[in-house]
Formats: sequence, C-alpha cells, structure tokens
Amino acid sequence: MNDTNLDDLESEAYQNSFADGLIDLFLGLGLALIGLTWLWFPAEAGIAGAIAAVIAWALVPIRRRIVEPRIGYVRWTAPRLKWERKQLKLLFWLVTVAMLIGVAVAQSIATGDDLAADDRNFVAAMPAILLAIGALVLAATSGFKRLWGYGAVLLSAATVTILIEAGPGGSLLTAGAATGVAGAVLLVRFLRAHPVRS
Amino acid sequence: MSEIDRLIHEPARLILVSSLYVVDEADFVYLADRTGFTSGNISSHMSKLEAAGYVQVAKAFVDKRPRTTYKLTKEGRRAFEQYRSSVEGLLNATD
Repeated sequence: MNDTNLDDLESEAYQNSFADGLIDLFLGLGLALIGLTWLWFPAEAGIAGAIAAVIAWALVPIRRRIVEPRIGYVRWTAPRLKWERKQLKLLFWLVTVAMLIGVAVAQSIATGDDLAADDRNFVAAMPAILLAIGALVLAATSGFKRLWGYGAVLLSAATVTILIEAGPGGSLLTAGAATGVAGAVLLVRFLRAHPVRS
Repeated sequence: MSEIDRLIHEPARLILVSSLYVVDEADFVYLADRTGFTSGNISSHMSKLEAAGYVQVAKAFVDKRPRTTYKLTKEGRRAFEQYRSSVEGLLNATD
C-alpha cells in the first residue's frame, strides 16, 4: 500500500461524504430563486441573493441530521480542511462577484444606462460565466465529476443568454433547476442506499 | 528486514487502520459504512487495536444519540507506517 493508494482511499472517502446531493439541491434552489426574482422583479434580485444565503445556513444542521446517521461522522485531516477552506473561499468570491455584476446589470437596465447592446448582453451572461468558471475550477481540483456537468450547463445558459439577448435571470434559473434536480436525484439515491444505522 | 506487525497485518484490521489513517477521526457508523463490516466485527477489532495503544476511543452523546469515535494514536500511525515500509521491503526483497 503506497501513498497513491492511500490518497485515492482518502479522496474516494471524501467524495463519498458529499454523495447525498443536499448541497446541489440547496445551491440549485438558491440559484433558481435568484433567477426567478431577476426575471420578474429585477430590482429585488439582491434581496433574493440574501434570502438564498440565509437558506444556505440551514444546510449544515440539515446535512448533519440526514447524512451523519447514515454514513457517519468523520473529521478530515488538517491538509484536507485547509484545501476545503481554500475552495470555499474561491467559491464565495466567485458567487459574490457574479451577484454584484448581476445587480449592476439590473440597475443599469432599470435606469436606462447607455451601454452598447453587445456589451450589455455579455455583461448579462457574466454571472453564469463566473459561476461556470467556479464549477469547472472546482471540478478540476476536487475530482467531483458532476461539477463538470454543472459548469457545462452554466456555460450553455450563458451562451443562450448572449444569443437571445436575455437578462441574467433565465440562465441562473436554468442552471439552478438543473443543479436542483440533480441534487434531488442524488438525495433519493443516497437515502435508498444508506438506511439509518441503529 | 523488520518484522511484520501481526496486529495490523490481519486483513480486517488492516482495512480499519487504513481507513482511520487517511482521516483525523471517525465514528463507528462511518467505519461500518466504509468497510461493510458488522458492528460486532468492528468492535472486536477495535478493542484489540485499543488494547495495543494504536487507537483512541471516545464515547459521547451527540443530538441525544450515542457516538463512538475512533482516532489513530501517534503510536498507531507510526506502527502503520512501519508496517507499510516492512511490507514494501519484503516485496522488494522478493523481486
């Protein structure tokens, strides 16, 4: 048994601890909520982002209640926790920048700023593009294969946003729905495969 | 060539020790899920590892549920690393 075997063992165990799909489900719901708000109430998109962030806080206790009785509790090694914090920081900044760009676009559209149509379409697709970059970077560094799929959906949604000259809401709603459905499917599979151990 | 640690060499214990080596600590349910071993099997192997000073066991109640947590001690980590190098040495010597 060499270091590569042990690294693989750790990596496989780490990935397995996220097989429940709850994070995907919450992320999907959050994005869909922001997307929907952007479509119908663009001025309130910031509030939707804040609500999504509050919902995200509920994720930790819910995961503990659902996941731990089924696959147990584990504390990862210090290097893994450091790596995890780095990834979360990256994701946080990408989401924040994406949301700020989206709010700026919504404001610019609402106040009728003189932005060239091409620029406006590109800027409208920026939130989805930034989130796609985040998903693809995480996919490459973490080994979570489904993140490649989320990245691809986000990039496709961003492309469609530019082509049909839409606002950012549609792309976020589409990506959120895809992520949420994938999360729900994973959750059902997880619950079936891992009954609560007494 | 150093001697093989028979306590770790037993297949089920080797899997349990390897599983604990790649994490900081884990509970009973985690080990059962990862290894597929029965509760009795895990308990009996862990008792032997604990008696040898390789594993530290902590029992607590979390959210009103009992949780038994296992952690490899420094001695346990050292013993596992020693075991790995012994086996590697043995395999290299037979090449």
